[in-house]
Amino acid sequence: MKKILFLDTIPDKTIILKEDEELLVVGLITTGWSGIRNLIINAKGRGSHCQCIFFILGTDSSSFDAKIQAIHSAPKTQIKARIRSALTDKSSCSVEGAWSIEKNASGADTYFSHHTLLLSQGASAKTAPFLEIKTDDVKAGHSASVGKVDEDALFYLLSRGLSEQQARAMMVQGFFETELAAIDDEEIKNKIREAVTTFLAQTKN
Amino acid sequence: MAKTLKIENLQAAIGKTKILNGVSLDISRGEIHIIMGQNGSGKSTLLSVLMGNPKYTVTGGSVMLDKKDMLGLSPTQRAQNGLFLGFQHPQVVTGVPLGNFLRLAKNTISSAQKSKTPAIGPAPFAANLRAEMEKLKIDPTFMSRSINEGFSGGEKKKSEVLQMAVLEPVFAFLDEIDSGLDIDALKIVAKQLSAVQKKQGMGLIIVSHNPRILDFIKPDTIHIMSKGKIVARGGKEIVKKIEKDGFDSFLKK
Amino acid sequence: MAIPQKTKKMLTQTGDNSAFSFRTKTKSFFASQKGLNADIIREISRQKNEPQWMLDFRLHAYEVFLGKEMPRWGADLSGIDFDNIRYYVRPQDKSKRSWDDVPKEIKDTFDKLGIPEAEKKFLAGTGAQFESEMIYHSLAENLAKQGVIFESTDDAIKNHPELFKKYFGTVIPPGDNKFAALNSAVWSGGSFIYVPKGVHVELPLQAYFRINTENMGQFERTLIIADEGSSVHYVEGCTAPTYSSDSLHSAVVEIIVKKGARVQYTTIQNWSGNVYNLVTKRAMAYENAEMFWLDCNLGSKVTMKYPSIILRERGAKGEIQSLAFASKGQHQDAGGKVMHLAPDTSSTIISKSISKNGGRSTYRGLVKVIKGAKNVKTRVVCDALMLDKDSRSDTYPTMDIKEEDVAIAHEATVASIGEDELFYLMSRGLSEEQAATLIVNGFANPIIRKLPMEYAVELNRLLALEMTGSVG
Repeated sequence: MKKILFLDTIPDKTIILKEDEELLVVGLITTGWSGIRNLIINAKGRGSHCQCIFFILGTDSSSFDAKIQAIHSAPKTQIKARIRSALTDKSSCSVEGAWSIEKNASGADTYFSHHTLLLSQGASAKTAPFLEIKTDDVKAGHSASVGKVDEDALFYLLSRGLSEQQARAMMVQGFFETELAAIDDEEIKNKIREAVTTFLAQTKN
Repeated sequence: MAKTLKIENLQAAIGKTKILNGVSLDISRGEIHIIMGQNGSGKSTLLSVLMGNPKYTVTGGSVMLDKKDMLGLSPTQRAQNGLFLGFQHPQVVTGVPLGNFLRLAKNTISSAQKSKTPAIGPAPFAANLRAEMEKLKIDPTFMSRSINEGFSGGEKKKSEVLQMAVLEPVFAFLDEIDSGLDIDALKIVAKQLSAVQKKQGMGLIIVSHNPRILDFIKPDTIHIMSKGKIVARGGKEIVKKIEKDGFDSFLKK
Repeated sequence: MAIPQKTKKMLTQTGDNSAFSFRTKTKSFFASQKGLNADIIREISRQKNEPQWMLDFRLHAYEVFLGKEMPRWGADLSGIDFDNIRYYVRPQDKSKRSWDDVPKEIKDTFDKLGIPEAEKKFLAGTGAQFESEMIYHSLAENLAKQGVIFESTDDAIKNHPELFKKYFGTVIPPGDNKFAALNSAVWSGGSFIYVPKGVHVELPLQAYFRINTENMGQFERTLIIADEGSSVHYVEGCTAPTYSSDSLHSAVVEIIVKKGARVQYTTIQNWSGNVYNLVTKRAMAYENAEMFWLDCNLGSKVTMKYPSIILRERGAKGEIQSLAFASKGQHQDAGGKVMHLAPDTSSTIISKSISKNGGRSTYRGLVKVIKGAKNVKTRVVCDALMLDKDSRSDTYPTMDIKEEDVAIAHEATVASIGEDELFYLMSRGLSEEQAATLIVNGFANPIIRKLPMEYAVELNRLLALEMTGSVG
């Protein structure tokens, strides 16, 4: 049975997964912090799976600085993290993903992604998806991107009569919506959608 | 509702490269014009410029919708004035469901045009959309899919025609609407296109580089474009010349 | 021309690097003692007849070297014993222009390398490093007529002092890192290239390296200046004998690509398995300039090398393609760095690494975009192929973006050779080893095909050789 952990921040915490444990961690993060948070997920139990989906909405001068460590130390484990951040005003987000697959972690299936939308002149992002692999029978990948709203897609929406504000709002919502499919809980999904709407209302554009 | 679109000596460039070198064309509501020409002649650029794609800079000429200048308007405003562009490579917009997006666009355009019809609610809109999708043989589940995500080339083109049918523009520009469609799909799209065009009295400018489109759509005027200019225009006699001698025959001067 | 027919045949027969594991007894005219101090540096400068400013530069760099700590990241460098290395050996008095003047035993070395005479019609010019000095060097006539300078760095400081002093040390100052400081103190040999405005050098300029004395250090220093609108391709392919004690290779390459110019720098590194190869390579690209690093690392015990590009002005473009192959006892720590300091700049980094038999391949990369660098596009792809469970693969990419008007994308995948792929190929009649080799070649191919043809052919063969006995 999949357990869901719903967080409003990236905490300093160590999570150790037991054999066959399945965990979904969802983070809806709108308040920043000072310093670096360290989140450690250690898949010690054979066959354990953990999925982390983090939504970061940055305004004012909020800073979101975290190191997420994923350790695969048993066979057939999975740790997958997908982070999406939208930053406006002077907010900044820095995520280091320290993923390691130990020698005894054959059959590991792992993934890390961090995609950032920069919505204002003062926003900035840093992403460092690190990966250390010590055995060959693995599936591993990571992907990251940083950028502003895609101009071609924006023009497409504008050409259908939407105002620039409506079009941008749609794209930002769409940016987060893609990750919601993996979350089974409707209540959590709606909380996230509402938070994005509130965030967009605060964004000057 | 606007009656005419007048394009006069339109010139445009991308970066330092000039692509449109003085295009002139007049079209009235209810007419169908087809622009043909080889790849690189500037046909697609013309349509992008008519819709106001910021990638291109207009360096001369004018575009008037009746007495209203279009070149000074943003893409949003041009759409709200009743212009529509069916893209050659429709964008994938992840996370934005097609149905929701179309409803929002429809209501925004209606309110901008100060239409007397009230905003359409989700349920009646969905019903209407399903009916339009049926006419084009588009899988109804696409309504809740992200815009163009996972659509085949042909499905993307059908989706453009669908959007045109829903948004009811006065003048629609369709870029290579026939590419990526097999014969059956082309028949369906052409049939629906004609039906919608007649019903709404739309003016249509269709761009294609493949003469076979003339089997399915009967235009009032055919224009041949080359090197950013219209080099020939006419009616059926042009069709016969293309069939007999190909495009090249228009380029020898 | 990489390595001609005779040598290629030797390589196939012996099946390993030992084809080049031979030594020539040379009379070293001056062989420095082991270890390093200020006196040795003064002697090096005196022997080279250098201007005072260069001696000052060296001594200052030496101070910097002593003051800097060893890097705390990267590969394991504990095996380097700085006191057990000879920092300078010069086998003859002057760098010659004609093949006839080169001493016989040195010619023998070139024969064994398969270069009976370096002056061939289709070669623009060849410099060869032998025991820290450019022994033989010549320029093809038409290059000289165009005003292209291609000399040893030692000659260039004397023949073109203003040009040299203007650019030397401007891209990589001694304080950059400990090994750049070491190189700045004891550098010897390397190539100096200047291409005048608008000149396009059609054929690749090449150089050969050899380490030939036990505990020899190689500290060549290369400086390439491409003036406005010019273009040049420099190819560096090297090989070294196998010894029992460790060798240190710490080179510095500085490149300046001016407005509208284009430089490609290709390296195939195949040092023997006892060499520490720690290289600092950096290019400065100006308005609309293009810089392309093509870096293939096959040999050495440890390589730490991150070619980097600073896109200083609008419209500059940078590309880094890196191929690394790490086998037993090897650690290839490679990658690339791009700094976007101006708008409308773009970059691509493609890294392919292969590890087998306990080898370790690491990708280390950095993409940095400063505030105000609008309309920047970057794409990074790093793929790793692991051939067995003893191997190790690491990826450490960082993206540091302070400007919103950008499009930065990064992808990485790690895979092993799929059972299905192997079976498919074997079912068509290939042995398991042939099938694995095909797959590895296919993996590396996007980078290999960017090499000049002779190198591509040689590299494919080297890869195939590496794969022998690697399966099962």
